[in-house]
Amino acid sequence: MTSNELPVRSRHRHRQHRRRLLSSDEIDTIELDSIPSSAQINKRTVAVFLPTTEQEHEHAVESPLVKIILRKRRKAWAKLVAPVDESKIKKNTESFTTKFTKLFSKIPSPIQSLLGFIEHRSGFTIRSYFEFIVWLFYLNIFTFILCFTCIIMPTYIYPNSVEFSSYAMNEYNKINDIPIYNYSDQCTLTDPQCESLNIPLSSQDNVSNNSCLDNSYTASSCCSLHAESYFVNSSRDGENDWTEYLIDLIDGTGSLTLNRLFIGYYRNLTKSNDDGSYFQTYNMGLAVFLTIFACLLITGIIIVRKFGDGMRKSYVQNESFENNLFQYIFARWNYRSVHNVLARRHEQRFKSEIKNILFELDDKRSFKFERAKDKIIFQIQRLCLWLITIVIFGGAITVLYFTHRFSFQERAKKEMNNDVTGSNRFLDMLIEYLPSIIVSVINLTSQLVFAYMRDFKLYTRTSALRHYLIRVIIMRLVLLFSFVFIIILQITCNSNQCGRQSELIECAEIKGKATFIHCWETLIGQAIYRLVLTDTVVMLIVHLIVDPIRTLLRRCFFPEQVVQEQDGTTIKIHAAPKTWFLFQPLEFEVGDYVLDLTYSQTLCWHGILFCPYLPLIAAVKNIIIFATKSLSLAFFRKRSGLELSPARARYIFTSVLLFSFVWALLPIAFLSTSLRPSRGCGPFRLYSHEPDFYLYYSVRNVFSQVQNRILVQLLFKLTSAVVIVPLVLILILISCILIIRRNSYRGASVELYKLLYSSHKTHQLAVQNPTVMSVAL
Amino acid sequence: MGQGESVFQGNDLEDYKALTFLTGPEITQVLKRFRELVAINKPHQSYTKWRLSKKQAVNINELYQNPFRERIVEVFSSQNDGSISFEDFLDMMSVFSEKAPKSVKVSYAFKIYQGIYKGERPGGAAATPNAIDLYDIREIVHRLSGENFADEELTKIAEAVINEVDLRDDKTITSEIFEYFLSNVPDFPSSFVIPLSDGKEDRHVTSTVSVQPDATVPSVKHRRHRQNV
Repeated sequence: MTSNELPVRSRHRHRQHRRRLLSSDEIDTIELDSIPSSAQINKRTVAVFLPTTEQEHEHAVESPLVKIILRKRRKAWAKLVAPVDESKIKKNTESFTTKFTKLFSKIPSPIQSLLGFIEHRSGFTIRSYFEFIVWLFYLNIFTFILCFTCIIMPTYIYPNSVEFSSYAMNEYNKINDIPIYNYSDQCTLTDPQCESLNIPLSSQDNVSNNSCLDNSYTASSCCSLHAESYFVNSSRDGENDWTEYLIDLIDGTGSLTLNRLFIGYYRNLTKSNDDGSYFQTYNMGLAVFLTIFACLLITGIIIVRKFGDGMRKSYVQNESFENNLFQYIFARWNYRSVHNVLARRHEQRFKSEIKNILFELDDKRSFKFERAKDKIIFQIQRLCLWLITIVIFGGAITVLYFTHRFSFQERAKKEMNNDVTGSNRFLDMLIEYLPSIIVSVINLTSQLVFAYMRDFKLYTRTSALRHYLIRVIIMRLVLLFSFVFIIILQITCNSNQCGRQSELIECAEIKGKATFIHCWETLIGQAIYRLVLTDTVVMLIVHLIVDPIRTLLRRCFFPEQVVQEQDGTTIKIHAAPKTWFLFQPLEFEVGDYVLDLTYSQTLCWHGILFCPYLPLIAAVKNIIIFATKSLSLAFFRKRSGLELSPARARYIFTSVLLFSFVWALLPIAFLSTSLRPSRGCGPFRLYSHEPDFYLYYSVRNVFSQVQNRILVQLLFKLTSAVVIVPLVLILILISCILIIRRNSYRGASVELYKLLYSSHKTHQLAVQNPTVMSVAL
Repeated sequence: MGQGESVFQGNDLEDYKALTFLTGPEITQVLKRFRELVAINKPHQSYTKWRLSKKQAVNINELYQNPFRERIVEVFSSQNDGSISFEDFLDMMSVFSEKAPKSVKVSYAFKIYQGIYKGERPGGAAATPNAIDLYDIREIVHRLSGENFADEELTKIAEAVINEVDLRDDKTITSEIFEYFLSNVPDFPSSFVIPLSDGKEDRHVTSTVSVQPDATVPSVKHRRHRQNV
């Protein structure tokens, strides 16, 4: 093997040649044979890519190459032709933000050192999981700060605000000269017209002359007072006794119902002087809608950007490359590792990865059958697997529906018999929590079932893993969807005058048309709040109670054995026989944990409209998750064999998050465009006298204040369904076009590569000197 | 400390800055590190004459755990006997720095992987020039796994790799194919980096193991030494 000689002289010569090349004015005329590659043989030199950028920068203020790049904005595949990075040329101009972030990253932060410790001990995949938790924490804090400044803080700034509807009523009566004695007691709580709210609709007589509820202002004040008195009644216990308050805190009902926690509390705020000369109002409905919209939009943009970063770096990557041997052999060894332990770990990981790929190849081979009968049986087996999955989904939804109905009927019964003495508070709480507990139980059992299904030999390993993840995600999202939808069904069967909706289904199934749903926004907020709490409690139980018990049992009942560990060292562990799968050594399953994390984040996004404090609760939950998982990793669970490359890990995490985010937008969009807000609570209570007022109309109403009639009409037309639906369709079409374009770029790059290769080969054949080629190197 | 100076002569620093991807302070650091490494050889006054023999170079701390260390030393060495001068070391550190562009790293990776198998090939064929062939891949897998795979498995793996990327149907991987497929891997530039070590665990002064012999001979000595550390 000849050693490569690189005398300085020839380096210089080669550099000059390249510089001449690059300063030509047209990139398109670069000849293929001048692209340096090792296949081009000069007897003495081997081609080396030395950048001439610094030399260029000294001799020319702005090289023509930079101008060309800026002007032509060269596309990604041109990099194959003239492989000089843009960033190398513009090396000296670092933007201000880059400098700022570099300065920030120099400050040693405790989180980073903790993450570094985790990486050193348990590998990169687990570290990237914890990094994901930290990133979600920052996202939640940012969302909460936004909600706090726009929604929660004004309620502190405007204390003792006058109810806007009473103020408006006063002004209206003043303007229209209605004498004062007519409206002193009108439509207050003691008014007989308001009392009709207490009777369910089915037993009411003709209520034709109910003028109180026809006028929007009076209806709003009537219903608000009614709702408040009801809630004050139910929260009386909580205010006196601290145990009651604790139970209310866990339950979300009682004294917490009309609290800043849930959105029913918020309303338009006014501040005025005593004599009414100075008046200022804060349009809470508009604020809520715009804030939530901005939060979701910013969150979506951040996630899509993170997702797109990973995709941009591998623009030619085909899906089949994800598991390819080439990458594992040539690009996986990390040259930085200088410690013995790390190097041994890398070796073991390499071995297991290669073995997995070999198994895959074997699996694929074993799936080829010769007889038609075998093929048919095989396909039928696969089909059965999916049918079972769909049956499980359907069964879960049915169980959830019946649970909800049971809980609803119990509550209705409690409302109808107004003698609340003798009802057990704990029993009430259990009934309230029953749907959430059922959701968690169904999630856990279905996850176990799907994990068992993963071990069937019907698909290759990676496909089976992917199917498992898809099934678990869809199970959780479907449960969440149906949870919200069933609550919506119950809401639409509400018979309270203050909150009547158009009926979606026949309400005969949900017996006992009760009048207790005064405020459906708070109801949904409470349901999601309970879901979040249940999820946290279940996770804590699994990690802090079940794990230690299992480890203890394993240690007590099974003898010590010497087992070859993954690092090549031998340790003694208590190993159980393979069939006792409950007692196997516990592993830190990163995939499952990432799904749990995205599920809790999806809950946060579902509920953000109805419970403004939910991002804060989610952030606290992230801290709890971080602490619990690191504890569990330190004591009870060991690392699993799954090792992902950094780019792959980031891709998986962000794609799962993006999928859940898109899914979470649908219920919010449905709720804000199809349900009428309640008249007695919430920031939209003022407008609900119109027959078709929806949440997003609060934005529309702002436009009506514009003086110009034509502009107002135009704006109304723009925001109606006539424009929105085609817009959505066009967006879908554009995304399809982009996907097609991406695929065509990939095809183009493969074609370009083939062209490059074949033209280079032709050139070599034409030019080559046989004596040069035969020199042994 | 050694007798050698640590000050650059004349325009050398400017030249080095122009020829490599490192900045001035980094080049000075490389010089200091190299001076530490050659200290046992009682070097000359001028740094241009400092030499590190091949046996010592494969055992320096930055390369010790690397399965391709002899090949790296061979690629960067400018002498026939594989010894490393200061400029070679600087070249190596520049290519393995974080600022080197991807194309440079890819081409050097190709040089390292190609010709790595030095044993006998059946049929007396010479090593395929300018291409990675089946035997090279077998050797690479053999080293990466810590010599834990059997022969048939190695052959199976090597053939699977070649089948995946072979667009030319001649059972080798040329440099264009290598560059093309490696550019799909987004992590490659950040993993092809060797940071300068701080010299606390230098083994080249104490190790007595010679350079790893040919790959056909099982290197028990090598493995035992690894576990002794």
